[in-house]
Amino acid sequence: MITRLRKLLRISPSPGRQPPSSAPLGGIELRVEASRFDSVPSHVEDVRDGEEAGFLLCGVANAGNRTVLLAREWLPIPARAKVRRSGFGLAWTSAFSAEVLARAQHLQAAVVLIHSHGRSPMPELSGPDRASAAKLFPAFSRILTGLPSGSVVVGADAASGVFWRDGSPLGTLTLLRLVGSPIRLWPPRAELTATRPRRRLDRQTLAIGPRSSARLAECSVAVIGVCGGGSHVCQQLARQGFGRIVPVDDDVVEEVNLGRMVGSTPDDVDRTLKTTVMRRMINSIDPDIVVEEVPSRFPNQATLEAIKSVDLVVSCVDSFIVRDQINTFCRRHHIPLSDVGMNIETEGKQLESAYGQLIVVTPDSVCLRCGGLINEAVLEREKRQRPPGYDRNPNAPGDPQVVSMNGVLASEACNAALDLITGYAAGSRGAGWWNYNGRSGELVRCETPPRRSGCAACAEAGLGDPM
Amino acid sequence: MIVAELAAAFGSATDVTPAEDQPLHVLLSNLNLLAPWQPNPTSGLARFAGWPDQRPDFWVSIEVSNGSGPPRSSSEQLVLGKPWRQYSASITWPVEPRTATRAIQLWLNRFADRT
Repeated sequence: MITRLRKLLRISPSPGRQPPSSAPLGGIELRVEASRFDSVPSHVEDVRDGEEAGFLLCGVANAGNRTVLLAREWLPIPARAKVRRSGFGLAWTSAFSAEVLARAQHLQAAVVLIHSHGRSPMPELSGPDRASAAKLFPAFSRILTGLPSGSVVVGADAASGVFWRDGSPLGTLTLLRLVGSPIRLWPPRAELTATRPRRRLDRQTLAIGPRSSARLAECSVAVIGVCGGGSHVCQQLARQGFGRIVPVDDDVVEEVNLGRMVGSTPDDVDRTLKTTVMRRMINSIDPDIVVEEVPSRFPNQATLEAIKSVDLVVSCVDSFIVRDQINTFCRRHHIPLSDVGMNIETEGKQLESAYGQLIVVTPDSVCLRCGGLINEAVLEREKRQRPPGYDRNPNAPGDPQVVSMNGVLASEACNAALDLITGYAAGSRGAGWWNYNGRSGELVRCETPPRRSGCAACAEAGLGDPM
Repeated sequence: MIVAELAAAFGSATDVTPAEDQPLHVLLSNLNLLAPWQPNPTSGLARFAGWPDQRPDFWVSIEVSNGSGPPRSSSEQLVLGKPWRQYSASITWPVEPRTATRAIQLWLNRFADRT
């Protein structure tokens, strides 16, 4: 038996298609690491040997009302599996379909067929595409129980598609997100969304481009840990014009926080949640920003659910164990991560050293673990120094901190966030590692460490929700 | 082999290792804890990194409670995409016989303590 997928190479505008709104998306999102996606167009757009296509195998996550498919493997249809036919269209052997299904079953992965309509600005599945998909993917999805299967067509900065699950229609592709630096959305929502001019952002717009304010307004950032570093981050994200900010912290303000937590006041001591202080501060800067307080601790389930739906995460925690888990979570969901950390050592009553780091991780860059910031020895040392429950102990000694040093790293984290969303640095920034010396004032971009094999976090890349 | 041994000892054991180059992870979904700990049965997750020179890491379901709260000296930890409860236990390692069953039993002995 030969599986057939025919399609017309016809560029046609799609009547009746509505521009997306800036509200949180429902439907189905396909999320692919930018570097992995680079190999997709180069394959499917190369029609010298007839039409081409391939399968993405994907993990699955449910983020609110959105189903997110997270790319894990790309299986282009090889020449050996193609069946020669006259005219347009592509057919491949049933043996290759069986290979794809077997691999998907092994990985417990969703299956997405990708093909191209050249440089179409609004590609749509053609009639024959839809007919072929309607024969193939209900059958695939009945075999891959509970997992979506579908067909996606890509064009010039746009894509569309249709999906089934358990043999029934599931929905259409709402968004293709290419996660790199910057994050690209197909279709590019900001260009299609009518947003009112924001005079408050005029000067920033002059600096980084006319489309930046609309793009930022539709983006969301989770800030995990909102005291010394995270409160600075929240304040600057608000002024930069991010549309939704998700502060995550389960602590109440203490007196010792007043020296470094932006937005806190003496009235907050022992009575106000840190996330509430952030909401108050952010909305005093801009009442239009949606602030979703998450007054719980990572990795509480409520925290995980809230973070799944954001565009990027900024981690400002003081624990390597928690940092490791945030790093792995972002890996599982292909979410970019900026990690801010500061460590001050004292000798007697003197500051001995003050080193910090900013690490910006995209799904295709070196992560905190495979780059070496976190390893088993570091985690073991912290476990010995801070056994489970340590941070609930009110008598635990605090770490030395200086607000202005936290602020340097937080500002750089916000520059990184701005670049990840707008691409203002035109490729000269992106993912990377920065070291800060709070004593000498040096902030230095380091050579990115080589990726280590066997990384436990990268082993979970694209897995999404646990099965 | 470890999975089969644990399945025989604890009723259910599933290999949930996330990738071929990662240490063995085993889900135990039919563990019984001493009263007052509940729910029973409950689930646990073991990771055999450095086995048998090192004891396995072990987590129990975050739902585990003695009726008034989780085990003292414990915290939530994200493992394989979901929160589990990590807890402190005084375990001397190695012990003989150095079997996976014995290692998990040592972790579960912590629940002889009622708080």
